[in-house]
Amino acid sequence: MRANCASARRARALLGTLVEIRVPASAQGERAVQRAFAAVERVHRAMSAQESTSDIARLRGGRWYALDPWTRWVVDRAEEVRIGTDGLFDCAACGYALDGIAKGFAVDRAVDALQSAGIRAGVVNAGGDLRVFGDAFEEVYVRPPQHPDRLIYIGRVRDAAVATSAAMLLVDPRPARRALRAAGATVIAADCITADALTKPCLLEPEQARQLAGRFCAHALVLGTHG
Amino acid sequence: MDARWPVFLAAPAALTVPAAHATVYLTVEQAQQSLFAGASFTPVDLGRRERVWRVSTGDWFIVDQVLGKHELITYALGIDPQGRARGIEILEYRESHGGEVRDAAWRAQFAGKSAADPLQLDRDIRNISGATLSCRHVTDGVKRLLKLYESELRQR
Repeated sequence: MRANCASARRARALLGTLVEIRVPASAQGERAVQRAFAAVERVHRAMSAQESTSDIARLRGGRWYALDPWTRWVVDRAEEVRIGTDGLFDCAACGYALDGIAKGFAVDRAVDALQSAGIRAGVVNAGGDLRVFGDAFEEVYVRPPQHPDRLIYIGRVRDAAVATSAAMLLVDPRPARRALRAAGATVIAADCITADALTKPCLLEPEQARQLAGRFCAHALVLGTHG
Repeated sequence: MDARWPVFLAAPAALTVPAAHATVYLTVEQAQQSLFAGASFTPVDLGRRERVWRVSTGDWFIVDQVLGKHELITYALGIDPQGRARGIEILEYRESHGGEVRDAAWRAQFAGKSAADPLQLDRDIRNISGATLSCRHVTDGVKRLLKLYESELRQR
């Protein structure tokens, strides 16, 4: 999708952030975007830590039945990432808050909805967890957490997901917590759930970030505490 | 034509980039049609900041702004005669920071652009990863507008 193509951009306030969807402008595109937002709303309802009726409340109560199948899928993926990162990513340690992974998952579901509605190219961005799909390259910028007034150009991506996490929002699952040496971590992966989940281990162990991401065929960029 | 003109026209293109970057998702009219397709809208002046319309369907349509973490968000709310939210649309998102303009890579997007190019397409920055922006204030804004309905609009 080139910058000079007419595109439809829509946004909704979901998952505690602004979820933006951009597709080439068409009547079919508008319908597809509505379906994509419906998928994000389903993730919001099931996995929002704020909603007492969500699956998070069930998980915390040890009730593993009556979960949305999507929640089960996210919990399984979170477990895979926990094992693959030697426990550095651990939802259970944070009372099953799926915040560290649900946003990326929602982006993937939105992209699925768009693609199954016949949309060939677009961008879904949930407050900084974004995924680009289609043939065209998209330029991606990172906003450093400690300098929100700046943008770092990280390059052009195609058919990829980019997620960034800030150290100030992170919960360290390890018993002996150390001062973080990184301010932010950006991960580029094939899907957004993986990119989103991997930012946290990369922040905790910035020296190992490349290797941790490599286990998931992803790339990591770590932003230092000094900008 | 004077040979200096093309140079003069090309130069200001990079300078007219607004300091704050606005992304327009929907115009007021598009949001009205999105929430109440086919209806007509009559503005109602309450002497307040919010812009209010009475919808031909008996519902109400309100446009308001909230401040997020670093950004101003314009949104619209549809309210039915029972005072329930019919739907929310995000109209515009405006970043308060203009520092991006200083970033060389971002400025490079304007290389080769002239006054003939549709520069308004480049007014916003796309595809920014990081620094989660907060939309919780939209939720608070909706609550406030529902109260506004109860105090000012229900009896109209």
